[in-house]
Amino acid sequence: MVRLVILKLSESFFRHRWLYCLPIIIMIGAAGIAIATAKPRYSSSGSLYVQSQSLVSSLNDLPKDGGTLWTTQAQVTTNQIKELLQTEAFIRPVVKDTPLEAKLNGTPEQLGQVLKDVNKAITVIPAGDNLVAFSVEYDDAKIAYQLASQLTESYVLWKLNSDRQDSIAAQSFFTDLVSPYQDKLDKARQTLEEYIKAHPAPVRGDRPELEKLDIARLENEVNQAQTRVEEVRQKEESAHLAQIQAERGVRQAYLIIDAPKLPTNRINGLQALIVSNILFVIVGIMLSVIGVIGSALLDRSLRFPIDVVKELHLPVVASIPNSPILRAPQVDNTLPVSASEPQSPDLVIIAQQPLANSLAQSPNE
Amino acid sequence: MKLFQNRKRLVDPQLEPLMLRSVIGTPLTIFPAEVIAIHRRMITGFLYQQEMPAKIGILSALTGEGVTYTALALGATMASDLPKRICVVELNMWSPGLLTLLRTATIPVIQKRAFSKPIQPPAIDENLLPTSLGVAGLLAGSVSLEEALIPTSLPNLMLLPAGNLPIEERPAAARGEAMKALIKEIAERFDHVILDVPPILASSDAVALVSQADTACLVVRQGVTPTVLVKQALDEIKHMMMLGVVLNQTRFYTPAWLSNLVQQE
Repeated sequence: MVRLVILKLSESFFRHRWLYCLPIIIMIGAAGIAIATAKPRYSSSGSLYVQSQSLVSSLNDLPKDGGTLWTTQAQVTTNQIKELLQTEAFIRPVVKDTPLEAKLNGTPEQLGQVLKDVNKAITVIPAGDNLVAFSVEYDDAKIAYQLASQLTESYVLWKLNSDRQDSIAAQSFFTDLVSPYQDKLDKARQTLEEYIKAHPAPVRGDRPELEKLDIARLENEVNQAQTRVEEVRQKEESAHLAQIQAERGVRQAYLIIDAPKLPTNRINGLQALIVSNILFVIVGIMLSVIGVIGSALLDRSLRFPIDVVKELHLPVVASIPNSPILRAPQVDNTLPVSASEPQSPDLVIIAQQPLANSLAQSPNE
Repeated sequence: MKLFQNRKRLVDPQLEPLMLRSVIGTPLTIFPAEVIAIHRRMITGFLYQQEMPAKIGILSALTGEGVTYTALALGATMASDLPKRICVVELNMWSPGLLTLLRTATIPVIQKRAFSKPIQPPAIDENLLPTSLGVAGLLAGSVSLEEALIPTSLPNLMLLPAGNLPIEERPAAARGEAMKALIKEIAERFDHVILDVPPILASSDAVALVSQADTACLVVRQGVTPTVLVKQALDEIKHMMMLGVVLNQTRFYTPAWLSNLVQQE
């Protein structure tokens, strides 16, 4: 059985050997073209350590930035960066000071192309619960380095801006309240002073009870206004402090562990290109093997004596080769002696004349 | 070095092709040396392994397998090698090919060239080629057996073509007593009769005709005839004693050095 399979496969291959070699040749050619036309690629990579935003969130594993129990800080950060990379507002600071920046201000097609190129070039993956690995592959080493460097910086700035918005809003709100409260305080003080001037204290004895009550009421109003102004000022300062703390917190939460470096060697060297394009050859070989096996499986005819014995249980008495039809030369198509010779009753074996040199051959039927 | 032995070297290079001529010397057909060598080997096997049957039926499952060629080549080789009287009887009246085969040596070689007009082959002198009313004429009583037989340059080899029998008469003729009597008469006159039987699956008369033979030999075209049909044909004649299978028009693409590594026997 094994012999038959080997024979069938080898016969199937050698019957159309050039046809089965064709996919391999084509794929090798495709791999050669891919290698020859491959542009140099440079990679600049780094890693970002993401800490929990607060002690509480770190203790109960509840991510602050919209994460769930099943997503880590690194995953949340990775998703955020990937989403932000789809936006022009985030891409702009990333491509700042690179040749790509000019294209951002061009036509919508150029803008779309830059977004597409940058997204294709940047790879961000979570490398642990708190570690985000990022890399940038680009045709130019300098651009790859710039994009990698500005990616983290842009993200941290974006985080700072988003966290600072709350503090700025609170600070602004309280700042706006200080002025009217101060006016009310001044007014209350002025009213108290005017009342005391209008009602000076008597030389002898105490003020009348009614004046005492009015002064006490006015002093109380001043105190209340004073308290409100102080509270507002305190809250304004608290908001300012919160803003500073938020900035510091963001800077501390996102630490660059491995800073990207300017790449010096291309990542797709000749060896790497050959290894990466070996897939073409493998596909070609696979196609050829599938063709050979398919052809052998679909061939339901008898090809070998062993095939006949196995399938029909009969011996092969002769295996006649596919010989060409031999034709006699036109000039000598009769034998002069035998034309008039009578048939001999005896059994005579006629000696065969040497024919091999005088026979013409034509293609087989 | 034996590993890289060329398969063609198995045939003796000194062997000559066998040209079969008519009694007047007209070349009828030419068998290549290797074809004769293989048939000679087959005959030798029959002689030393078992008794050579008197009536051998050569048949196939389908048309175009090369039954007529094999029957004629076997007959010519036997007549050439053995001191026996041989007769090749063509019973395939559905697609007779013996007379056509006897013309192959005289058909001129047409040299075809690209973008050239086809060259009209020169006319063949029909008087030089053998003709016979064949089995059909014998069954109709038009000719005698002596008149129907075609003699060849090998005096111990006679050929009997099928002739032209009307289609409606063929089933009755195949199963009739006249056919049996004819084959019996031929078998009495000759030492060995080789019957060229129509394809088993093409005509139901083939079973009746091949049953006239002592033994049968199945011709199978290598790489063409589906195994299922060959098995089907063998089922039809399972009452016959089988000599074996002749693999015809074989061509092996596997290199000799590789096929020699895989033992087939």
